[in-house]
Amino acid sequence: MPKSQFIDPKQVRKSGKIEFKDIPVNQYDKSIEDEKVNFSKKQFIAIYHDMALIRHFETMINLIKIRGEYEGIEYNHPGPAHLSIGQESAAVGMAYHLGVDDFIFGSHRSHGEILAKGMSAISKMSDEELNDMMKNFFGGTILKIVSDGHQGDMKSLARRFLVYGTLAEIFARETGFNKGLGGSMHAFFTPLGVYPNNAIVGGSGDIAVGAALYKKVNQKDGIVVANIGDASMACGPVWEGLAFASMDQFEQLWEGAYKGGLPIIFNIMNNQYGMGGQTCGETMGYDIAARIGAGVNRDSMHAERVDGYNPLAVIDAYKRKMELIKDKKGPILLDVLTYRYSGHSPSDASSYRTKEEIEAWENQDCIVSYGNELVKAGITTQKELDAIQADIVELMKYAMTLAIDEKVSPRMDLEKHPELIGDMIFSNQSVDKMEDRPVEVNHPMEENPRVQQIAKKERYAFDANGKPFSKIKQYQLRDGLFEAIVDRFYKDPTLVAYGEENRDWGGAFAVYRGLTEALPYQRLFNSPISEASIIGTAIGYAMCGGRVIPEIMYCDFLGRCGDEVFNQLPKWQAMSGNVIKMPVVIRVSVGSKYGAQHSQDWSSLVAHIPGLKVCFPATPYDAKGLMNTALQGTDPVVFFESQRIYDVGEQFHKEGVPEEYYEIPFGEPDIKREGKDITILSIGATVYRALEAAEELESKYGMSAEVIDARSIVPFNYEPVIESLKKTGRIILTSDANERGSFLKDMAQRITELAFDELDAPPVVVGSRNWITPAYELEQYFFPGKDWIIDAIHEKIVPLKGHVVKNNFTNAEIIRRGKLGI
Amino acid sequence: MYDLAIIGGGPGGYVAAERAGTKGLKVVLIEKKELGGVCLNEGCIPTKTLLYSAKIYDNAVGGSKYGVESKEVSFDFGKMMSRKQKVVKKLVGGVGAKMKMFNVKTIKDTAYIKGRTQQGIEISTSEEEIVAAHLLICTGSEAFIPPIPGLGEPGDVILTNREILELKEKPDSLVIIGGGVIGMEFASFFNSLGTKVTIIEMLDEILCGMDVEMSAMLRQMYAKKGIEFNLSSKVTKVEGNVVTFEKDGKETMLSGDKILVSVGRKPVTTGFGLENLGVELFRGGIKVDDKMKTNVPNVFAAGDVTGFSLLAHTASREGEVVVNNLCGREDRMRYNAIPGVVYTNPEIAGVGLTEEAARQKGIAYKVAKLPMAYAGRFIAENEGGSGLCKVLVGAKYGEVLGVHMLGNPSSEMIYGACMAIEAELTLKELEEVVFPHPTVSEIFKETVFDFGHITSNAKSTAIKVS
Ligand SMILES: Cc1cc2nc3c(=O)[nH]c(=O)nc-3n(C[C@H](O)[C@H](O)[C@H](O)COP(=O)(O)OP(=O)(O)OC[C@H]3O[C@@H](n4cnc5c(N)ncnc54)[C@H](O)[C@@H]3O)c2cc1C
Ligand SMILES: Cc1ncc(C[n+]2csc(CCOP(=O)(O)OP(=O)(O)O)c2C)c(N)n1
Ligand SMILES: [Mg+2]
Repeated sequence: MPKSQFIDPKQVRKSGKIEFKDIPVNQYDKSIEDEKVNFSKKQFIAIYHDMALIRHFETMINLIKIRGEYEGIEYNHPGPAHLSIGQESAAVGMAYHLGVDDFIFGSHRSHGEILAKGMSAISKMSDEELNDMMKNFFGGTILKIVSDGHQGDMKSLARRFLVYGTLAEIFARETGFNKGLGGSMHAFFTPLGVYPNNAIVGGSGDIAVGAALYKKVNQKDGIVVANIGDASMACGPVWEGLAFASMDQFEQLWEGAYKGGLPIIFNIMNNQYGMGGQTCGETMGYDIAARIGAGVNRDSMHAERVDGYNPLAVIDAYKRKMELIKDKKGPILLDVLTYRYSGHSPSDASSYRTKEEIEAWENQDCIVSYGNELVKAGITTQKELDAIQADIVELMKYAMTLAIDEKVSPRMDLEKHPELIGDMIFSNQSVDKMEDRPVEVNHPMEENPRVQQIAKKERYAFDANGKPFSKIKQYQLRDGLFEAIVDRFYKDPTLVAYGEENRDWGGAFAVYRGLTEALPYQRLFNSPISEASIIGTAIGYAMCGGRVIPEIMYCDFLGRCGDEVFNQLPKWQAMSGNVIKMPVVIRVSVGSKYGAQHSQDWSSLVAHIPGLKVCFPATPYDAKGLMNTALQGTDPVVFFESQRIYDVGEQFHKEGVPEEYYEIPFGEPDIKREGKDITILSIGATVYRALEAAEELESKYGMSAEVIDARSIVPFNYEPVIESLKKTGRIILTSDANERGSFLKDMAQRITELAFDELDAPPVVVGSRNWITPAYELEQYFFPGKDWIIDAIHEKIVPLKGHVVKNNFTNAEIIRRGKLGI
Repeated sequence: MYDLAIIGGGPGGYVAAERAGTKGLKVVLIEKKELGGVCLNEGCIPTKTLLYSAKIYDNAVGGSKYGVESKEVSFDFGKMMSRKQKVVKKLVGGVGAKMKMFNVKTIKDTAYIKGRTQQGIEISTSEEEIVAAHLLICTGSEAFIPPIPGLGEPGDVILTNREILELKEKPDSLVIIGGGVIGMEFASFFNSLGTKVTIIEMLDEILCGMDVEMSAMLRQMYAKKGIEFNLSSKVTKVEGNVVTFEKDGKETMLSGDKILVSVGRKPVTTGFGLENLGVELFRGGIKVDDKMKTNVPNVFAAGDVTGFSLLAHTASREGEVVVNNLCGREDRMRYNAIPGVVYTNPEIAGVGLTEEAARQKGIAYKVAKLPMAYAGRFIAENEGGSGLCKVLVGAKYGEVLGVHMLGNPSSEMIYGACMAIEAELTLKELEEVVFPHPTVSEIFKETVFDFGHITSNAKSTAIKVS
């Protein structure tokens, strides 16, 4: 909502109509003869070669899957294999113009795209570049394997490297491109610009946009291609990716070199089927997928349907579209028509289509027709083509033999190194800035109005007499977050932050107030209301080498980016064999007062997913220190904040929140109040209620409670809690998360397991009810309060003389609720 | 505002009231009939009083065995009954005095629970509208009349424990439906007085829950004394004085001047507004946890109303658990050391696991048993009498799991075994305890030492591991 844009009622209320630009369909009509000016013989043949390479590669895997044998080599591959036999021209056409700086993203069906893009990049790289690339990858492990006995030039070595690395990955070998942790559906190889292929249909639809954002914000060369299926055009994340990629602000608000559209092509590999569902005629309504462009922006995304059965048609389209991108006219939508003869996967009996249909397409086979055309045009002979095929078969036999050789291509040895995968879940690096170059900011930090305002605040909440300063005088939790974030913006040039209402508004809860003044658009902007793409793009941005803070305005909206948070963000570091880093700090705000869909603490859901770090600070000191740590790291962090306490002052660090930079390590709980009779372990904002309870326990019942603030929950060090238990022998755990399945339960179990002998009573969990959150006025019946904690202690841990409980913690009631599921 | 309101003045309620009063809690006890509940008024105390009269009579009649001759021994049924009344009155009065002493407010009225508010639990009585922070429900139980055709409300012929204790004359014949503890105690009493007693029991042994071997021995002793036992027999019909029962598919009819129904007890959970609290029931009784908490905060139950372990001392201890927790003393109810006594002549007393229960629960145990005659004092005082003592210990650690005795005065000795179980004593520790000599209680010690003989003389004792 920039003030510079005036919404003039006179203008917008005027009558009129929307006119659409025509969307071309299969308009390429050149002959080989016509194309001779554009391609050398070598290039014509390379196109043929790359298609044949894919065909043989996929055929080999198909035979292995179906017959357990290829050219006399026996092997059993139990894992997946979604093949693209028939689609080779589409892949090669897509990749033809792309160099190593151009990034492609793909789907479960992307072997062909890996090979096509790999070959295309190789063809454009110098021998030296190729050598460096191979030498530097996993310490030259793959290079060593493929250079053994190799004769020929660097490009042919690189071809071997590409085929072997891909195949070894598919067979889950440690010598594969992703150490065997990606496998068929997720194999990729960033040194050649092949970015993650995604087994979640449509998964690349928003991640790829993030990569394009990275290129734009960091002024990197190259374009991004999102290879997605025709059926994925129904997926929310794809639409959200389209929405994000087509924001007006790129053209209208971003300035200077940053002005203009994102360098991205949404490349629909339109094989006209999902698994068995037929997109045109059955499961979709777009008829021709390119039509979708018309709904997205003024330019209809420059959409076009291209005949993907003709590699030259696709190459032609790419040439034109890449020009548009150079003119900053992205995003672009290409509907590349193709067909797969192979089943969706080898188990597919093709019960959803007729033999006649498959045959009709086979009769027009893209490789055969293209070969025939080349021969007809006198560019080559059938013999020459046959020789190419024979050479490829040899290459396949070579790669196959090596890739299944347990000595050359072993799997990860989890016997010898049982924690190999565990060690890859996080990268755990400490990096000031993701790239060394000057930061783009609007003014020196000292001139920032928010920085100046904070300078006048009291960094400890109480005066010398212990009286609290007024709320506005206190340095608040939101100030702690701001300080850490603004500091990083002035350190790391790649850092960007976005989300809903982040710019101008300053974030819905005023954490970013002042940032708009400090940062140009490309570093802080408002995203569409599109949580999937907010996180999805952040993932793509980080994958490419940037650092990013996406914001989810309310925790409750996490469901909207469920796939991104559960399947993408946490997985890619390990799935890449630790090639990829993921410095994404998602700020998630836990609401209150706004009822059922705006008040949930879902930290437990996130903590359940391996691969995410999760923290939930409750004090300004912790907020700043943990945010600094999050932003210094290279791992994905889900950073929970509570709207109940954005305005709390620092009540624990008497010296006040330090002005200088400091880090609080993740995983270290903090004792907020010392005690000896009972331990209260809290996650998030409940720590203040725990402290109130501790106060009352002391004054009314003479019980001294130790209050521990978990601060972060993944990772988490149990040792301080166990130490506390050695004194107290009793523990109660509390948070605002609803009690069933809450992370507190996990902690209670761990504590029982680790400190059973210290416990005088079972650990007791006090969470919110397994209900919907009611209106603010009724929240006391839903969220744990001071009296809940005391009641639970009295009822379940140790009776407190004279205490009258208000809440029901009886066993019978717990069993009843369990039976009812509430 | 009371700290604690108690409904029901039986051993559950009045003991809790006394304990809470001692601790300085503000307590109100509401009892609609007489303080002391079933136990004092129509249960434990009156029956034991009468049984003592019967025992004196038995001794007088059998005195010659000991060289004491009494001529023309007779009894006065009316006098027995009025003495019983005197005892009850005295004890009930004693309870009342105690309540005063410990500042427990008592209200003689039917309590009605109105519900729970922010202020507390609201209970109405004609005397006072009560608001209490905590409520203890001790409404006890009443005789269960099974749905057998012809078996209506108790009256002239059909009796429960209540009516039978009000009889003016000794019946000539008595049919007892249900050979449990209550049935057997009345059988014993009337058998001593010469009533023709017939017992009809559905199960294959009397005194369900007691040690089966001892129950059978007791049955045989009473069969000799003239009681007729019909086991595995199911009453199908009652018409006037005639009871029809079925055994092995065969119908038999029996008649008696009176018919005592003693097939079990039913917790009192209706008629006093329990539903206004939403208290959860389980198998007819109030569902409680090991701190006697119901599902409703601040609401507790103790005694027969919970529907299990229907004994006066259980009720009292349960009430004490409630009070302890209210006063900040962590306390949990344990049921593994609750003694059970059958006050027949001879008595049976047991505590802890029986062999049957241990087997059923799959607990590995060792058992030793000795005839009572191993205790010199028993021989001295029980001419021609016999009895048995049985001790069960854990197979691994030798901790006492159960002790069962048949023979007088096992009711007075069993508490020693209760302490052993409660304190988790092992054989080794028990061996070091000194018992007074000569006492019948030495049989416990003898049996304990018998475990040492097991290895050398496997005959007398078996090792059972299941
Ligand atoms: C014949 C017989 C012999 C027994 N002998 C023994 C024995 O030898 N040893 C032993 O341990 N146990 C014995 N018992 C069992 C013992 O009597 C009970 O276990 C014991 O009385 C249970 O105590 P209580 O406090 O739970 O309930 P009760 O003793 O049943 O008392 C409940 C009281 O609550 C009152 N009440 C109910 N509702 C209300 C209301 N709404 N308002 C006010 N007052 C109310 C009733 O009037 C009653 O007085 C015997 C039982 C019977 C029937
Ligand atoms: C989110 C998600 N839903 C469903 C699947 C299962 N699935 C794998 S591939 C596929 C069809 C995808 O069709 P399309 O996007 O056209 O790609 P194609 O397989 O045709 O290359 C489906 C449904 C998946 N992997 N991910
Ligand atoms: Mg498809």
